[in-house]
Amino acid sequence: MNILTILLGVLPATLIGWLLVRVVEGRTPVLLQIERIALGFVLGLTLTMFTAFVLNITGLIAFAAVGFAIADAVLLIPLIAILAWRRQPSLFRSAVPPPSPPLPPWVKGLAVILGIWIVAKIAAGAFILLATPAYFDDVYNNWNMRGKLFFETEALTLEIPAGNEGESAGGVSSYPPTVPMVKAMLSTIPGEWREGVVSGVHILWYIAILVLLYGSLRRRSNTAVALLGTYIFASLPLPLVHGSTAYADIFLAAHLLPAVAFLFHALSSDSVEECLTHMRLSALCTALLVFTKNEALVLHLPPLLLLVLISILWLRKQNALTGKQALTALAWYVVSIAMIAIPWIAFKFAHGLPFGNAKSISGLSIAWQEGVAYAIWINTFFEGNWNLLPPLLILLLIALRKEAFRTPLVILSAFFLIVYLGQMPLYFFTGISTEALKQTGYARGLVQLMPIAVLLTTLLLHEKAGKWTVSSG
Amino acid sequence: MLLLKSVIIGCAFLLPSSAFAMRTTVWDFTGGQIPGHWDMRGLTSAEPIAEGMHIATQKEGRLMHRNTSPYRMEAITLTLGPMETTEAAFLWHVRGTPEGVLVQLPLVIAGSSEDHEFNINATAYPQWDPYTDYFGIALPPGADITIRKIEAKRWSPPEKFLEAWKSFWTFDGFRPYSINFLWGPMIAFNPIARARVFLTQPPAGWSANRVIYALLAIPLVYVFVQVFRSRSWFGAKRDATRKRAITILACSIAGMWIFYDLRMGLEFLNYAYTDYSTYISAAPEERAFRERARFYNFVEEVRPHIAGRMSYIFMTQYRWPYLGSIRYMTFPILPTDPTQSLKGVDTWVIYDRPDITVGSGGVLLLDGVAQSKPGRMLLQYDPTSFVFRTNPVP
Repeated sequence: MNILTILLGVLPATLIGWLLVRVVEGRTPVLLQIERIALGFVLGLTLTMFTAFVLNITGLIAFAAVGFAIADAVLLIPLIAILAWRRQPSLFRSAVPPPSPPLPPWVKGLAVILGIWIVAKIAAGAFILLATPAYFDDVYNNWNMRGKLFFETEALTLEIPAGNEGESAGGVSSYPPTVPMVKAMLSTIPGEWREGVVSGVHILWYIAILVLLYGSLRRRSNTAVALLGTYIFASLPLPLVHGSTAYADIFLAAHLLPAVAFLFHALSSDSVEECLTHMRLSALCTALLVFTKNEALVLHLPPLLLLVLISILWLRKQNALTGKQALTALAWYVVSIAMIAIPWIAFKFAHGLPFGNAKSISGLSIAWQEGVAYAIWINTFFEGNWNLLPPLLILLLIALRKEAFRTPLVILSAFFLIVYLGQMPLYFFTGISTEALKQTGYARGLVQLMPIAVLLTTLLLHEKAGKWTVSSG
Repeated sequence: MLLLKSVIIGCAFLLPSSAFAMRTTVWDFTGGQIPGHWDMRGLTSAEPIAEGMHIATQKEGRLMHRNTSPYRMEAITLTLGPMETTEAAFLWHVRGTPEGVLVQLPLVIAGSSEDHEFNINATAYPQWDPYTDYFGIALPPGADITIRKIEAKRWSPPEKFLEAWKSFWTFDGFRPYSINFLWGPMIAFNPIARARVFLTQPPAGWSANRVIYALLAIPLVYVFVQVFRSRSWFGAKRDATRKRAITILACSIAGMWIFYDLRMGLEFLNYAYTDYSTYISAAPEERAFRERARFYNFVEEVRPHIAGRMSYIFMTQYRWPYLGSIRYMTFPILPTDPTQSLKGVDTWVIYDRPDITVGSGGVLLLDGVAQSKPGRMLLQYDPTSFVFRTNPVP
């Protein structure tokens, strides 16, 4: 029953997202059908919640069933109108992936076995979400708590009664309210707060990442490679735990992956039209990324925008884009981000909400922090969090440095390394070191980056295998 | 190859069975005997009786052994008679250090009404000297224990290998830290360490990643050698050798990856299975959720008793995680502190507080001191957890 409620709840938003993606793709569809559904779900839900957020703070709707329905309608009607006005042909047309040789029987067999294995793990994760009570701190102190607060008050309430006469107005209230709003929205369907419903939705973001990874890889390679990448991500233990927990890092990752991956695809596109479509999709994902978690705004957005700028300049320099096309691409990013970021940042300033990860990043004193390097070393290489991905990725980045840094893959490599290495000074020299020493924030930051790391790893493996095949021939 | 295998297996059978067996040195105190040389210092009373060495001391003291055994000691097992929970310390001297300097490992020996064993996985401590010449236990004033026997254990290489394999497949539980990190497969080399591997933080064992990296280093080095050689030599044959080396490396990584995934995936499935068997499908009176045991069940039973109220007084031993959890679970009815009883909050939710009871006058007592007005018990969940409501003021 809870599963049906969740599916029913996300259906309108997924339809909105699907239509939005289709509008943005225009006459040059670049997505596979399944990928479009996954992206539609991710973007549609966030965009719908953003719309509800704007309508709520302007006093137009309450966080009740009618209010969320109005937010849906505000998006759905113009999208249908645009598609009708454009008379966009073949609404269901999808990209044609590159030809893929038939899989050898042993690969098929292995794919089936590993597929069953992945389904079993996802089923276990869904079971944990649907059937067990809130257990982890940020579930009952933040994500679910705020959702329940929104549901009970039908408003974007920032003051959380802390219990024992305490009040908490800052802290977790500084996070974008998207995930709690989704929970409040889902609760309006049964009309009551149900643990299974409000937590169960998280498994869908995990599944969406698997689908988006498959789509991204399939566009650049064959079915076997796409399946390999999907399997690699599904075999990472800590992301699976996060996918099965009502935390928001997988939710953020589901936005970050397409934002970065589409920029990579733009640079490796075969035509100008495809390049521009990928840029538009990337712009959309980047904009909505701002409305996921605080670190998206302060940690992910700056390097992503830097890479966008460099990419557009490079494409212009290569005469791959005309000046007008380059400006249009840039405008898509600027306008999309502004539409989401300005209301949200203005709201933050208006209510004095900090920009850090539940704690302010200003006013941190600088001093060397003992033990951080060891904690990071252990977490990265000697715990069960990441399977063997870190050493494999490092090995590939060294062995295939030319492919990693002198092809469009540089978008993935550079973004991953800038964000990963960029936060190291915070751990090594500020009080945020506790996030690494106590292993609280460091690994969660990596969870957000893991889909990109997997995409990069798989494509590097593909490059290597491709070269090998060519040289063998 | 077959011949080589046969020779190895044949040699294994020719070896004495003791080569594969755990070796135990036993000091048996039963029957009123004192095996070997034992020093008793500071103990008020240490008496060899039929059941073992009975020590009842009013002062801090030690029972120490001058060890002359040539065998390596990896774990110590104390077999004890019925006793109360006792804080003690395991002491040893590291050879080569000054005579009077002893390393001290604090212990809490849980009480029991029956004979029981207390195991010390000594090799988990870097300060441990497996050939120590002087070791024993220190007891605090008031200790009253009977030591049946003391055993020093060591395991043979095949036994250690088997234990390492078993510990690789020993799973951690779904715990509060699992959202931040997973310890992953651990390697312990004896059954005592394996039984406790995830009970200490950090776990008492090696990360299995060490072994995995070591195994993968072999094909990696082979690839480096082949790449190096193919640069100095040339020819299709050399290329083929290099490719074969890379294929071996790729297959090794792939195989190890799936193996690792199997290990961690099974641990994850075990989380779900454990939740199912101990919480979802368990009988109501036995439902326990992870390390928070009966708390969630308790809150479910509390709900009807606080319905319709704005707040309730909540008291427990530990603020984390119970205050945040109950706040979320009962929201919008909020937990509050005992001072609010003066403002008319009449319902007290007490969880796991043995020091809070209802006195004969029908008032809540904290260590015998009245905390509330008279009232009545609404729910007695267990001896230390209940819901209490004060009577309305007439």
